Amino acid sequence: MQNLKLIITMAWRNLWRNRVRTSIMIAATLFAVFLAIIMRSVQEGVYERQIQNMVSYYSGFLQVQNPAFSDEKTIDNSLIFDSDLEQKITSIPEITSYSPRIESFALASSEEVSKGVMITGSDPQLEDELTGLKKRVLEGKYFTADSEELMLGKGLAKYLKVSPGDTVVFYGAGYHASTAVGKYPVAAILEFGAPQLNDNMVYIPLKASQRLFSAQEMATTVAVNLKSRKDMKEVQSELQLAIGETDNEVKNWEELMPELVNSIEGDRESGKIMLYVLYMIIGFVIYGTLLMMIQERKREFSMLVAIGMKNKMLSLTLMVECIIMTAIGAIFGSLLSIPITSWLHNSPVKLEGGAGKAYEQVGFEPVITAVTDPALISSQTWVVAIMSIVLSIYPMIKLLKMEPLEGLRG
Amino acid sequence: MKVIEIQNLHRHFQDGDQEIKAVNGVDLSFEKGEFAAIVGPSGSGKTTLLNMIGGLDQPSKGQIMVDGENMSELSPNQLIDFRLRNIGFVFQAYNLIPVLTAEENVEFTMLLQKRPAEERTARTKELLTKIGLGDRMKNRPGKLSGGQQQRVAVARALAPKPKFILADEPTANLDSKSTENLLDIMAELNQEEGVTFIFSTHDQRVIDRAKRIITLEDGKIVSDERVEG
Repeated sequence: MQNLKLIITMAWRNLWRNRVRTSIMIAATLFAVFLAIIMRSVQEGVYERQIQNMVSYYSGFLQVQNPAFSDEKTIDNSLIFDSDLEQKITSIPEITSYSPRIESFALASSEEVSKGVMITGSDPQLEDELTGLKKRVLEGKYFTADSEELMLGKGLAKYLKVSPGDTVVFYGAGYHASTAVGKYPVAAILEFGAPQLNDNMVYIPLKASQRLFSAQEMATTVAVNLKSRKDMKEVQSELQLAIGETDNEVKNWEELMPELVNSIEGDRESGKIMLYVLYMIIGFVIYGTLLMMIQERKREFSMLVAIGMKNKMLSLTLMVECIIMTAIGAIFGSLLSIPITSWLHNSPVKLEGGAGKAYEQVGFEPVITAVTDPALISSQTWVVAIMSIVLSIYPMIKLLKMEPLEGLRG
Repeated sequence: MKVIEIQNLHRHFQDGDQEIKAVNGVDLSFEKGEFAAIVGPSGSGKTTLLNMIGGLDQPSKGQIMVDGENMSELSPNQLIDFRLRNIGFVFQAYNLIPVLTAEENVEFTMLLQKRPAEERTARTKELLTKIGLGDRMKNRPGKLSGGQQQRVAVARALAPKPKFILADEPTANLDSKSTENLLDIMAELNQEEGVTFIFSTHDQRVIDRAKRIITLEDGKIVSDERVEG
């Protein structure tokens, strides 16, 4: 106990002995922790937003589909959306909203140009409850259940050169090879977070879409949202059980959009490489400083061993010095990161110009945001703290083997 | 009563093809309370001999017994304990712990010995008063002169009541006044505490105060004189 007090006293006072060296160590740790937290928080923030854009604002966390639909996404593989299925969905308390949809591709033509688009037929009220679609109206008015109108993403509107009041013609395939042709006025232009939705999406009322595709009482999917994302897997099983194993299947968003999961995973991995490079740079700084510290104090260490201090205690003193410096750097680094991540979380920064375009090209919304996750902050703090302790092992071994005459000679 | 007994001590170093015999067959013993100086020209083997007596270096041949305990048979860890219990060191460059105050430096080895706090405090106060630094107890080495630092080093060496103190050129960095002052203190403590002092030195002022002068040349003892009075 006395020795521990002595070690801590010596270690603490040694920190103030060479302030430049101590500052370098603390600054290295502080920046490592700070940058690591910011990097990871922004990364996860962008993914979270991407998921939210795609899942909360479009696909829903779960979807009920005809089992054949996932292999061949055609109207022929629709399901019957009746009151029985609706009742089974609404009976699960964790489900907050749902929306039956008819989704199909068609050729959309305006006066001047044509483009392949994704038509989503949905109930205006249920869709708004599920995805908050009404808030996405940038121009014009939200469609109504019994109307024969459409709403489209702003990128698509720009491409087709249409605005509210203009007309768009669809040409596609309906149920059982029927021809789907229709002409709809533009009711509203929508703005989504995800660029792929902005450039491809068209909404028409569910009833209108059933008429267009000759698919009365049918839906290709029923999108479902939940109270909590954490319950997704449990609710998926519960809903599957409720609707029966054979009729229709319930898929979660990860199964529905493996490309999104893959793109996030891929980006996360490349982010990790950057993080490892950062760790390596900081590691070299910490390691170099520790070696310098031993070299500078070789005579002192030798003297301490000569007068009776055990090498083990000497190593421990160095380790405590290292822990104190790392802890100061890590704590301040994480504290400094909190206001930045909170600010980015609460006020996402929209990227303009080239940077924004680069984000859009890889399918991400050009917005920098961050998550405020205590687990992420503490994990980065621990990683850097443990890293510096690991880096102090070799200098500690050097001290464990130090002979008293090593530094006293000359 | 013999504190140290050295028998047929050798320390040889290899320098390329050449073998250097730094200490070459030394037989020597020290009694309790001696105030002895090991003298000789540079390269005569004084420091090497002192390092081996202090357990900082291992002999190539021969043995050193301290109070009947053979130092050559001790492991490195046991040697550290042995030094802590039996030997005090005074180095040429003072070598105090820069982050500790004079008081804490003196207390340091007693702390390592796990002596009770009251004993440590009393002994530290007693020694620092004896060496005339009772009013500088809270000063760190950086705030003390060379002479004062060396006095603290002597107090540190004496604090755990070792069997003997080894002082390697203790006055080499001191001016005349500080040297005289330090020697007075060491002689006084030698008398009062009855602890054996062994110096290696070139300094005539130290040699003049020694009660025993051992002269080394080429690693061998060429004379061993006791001074009366």
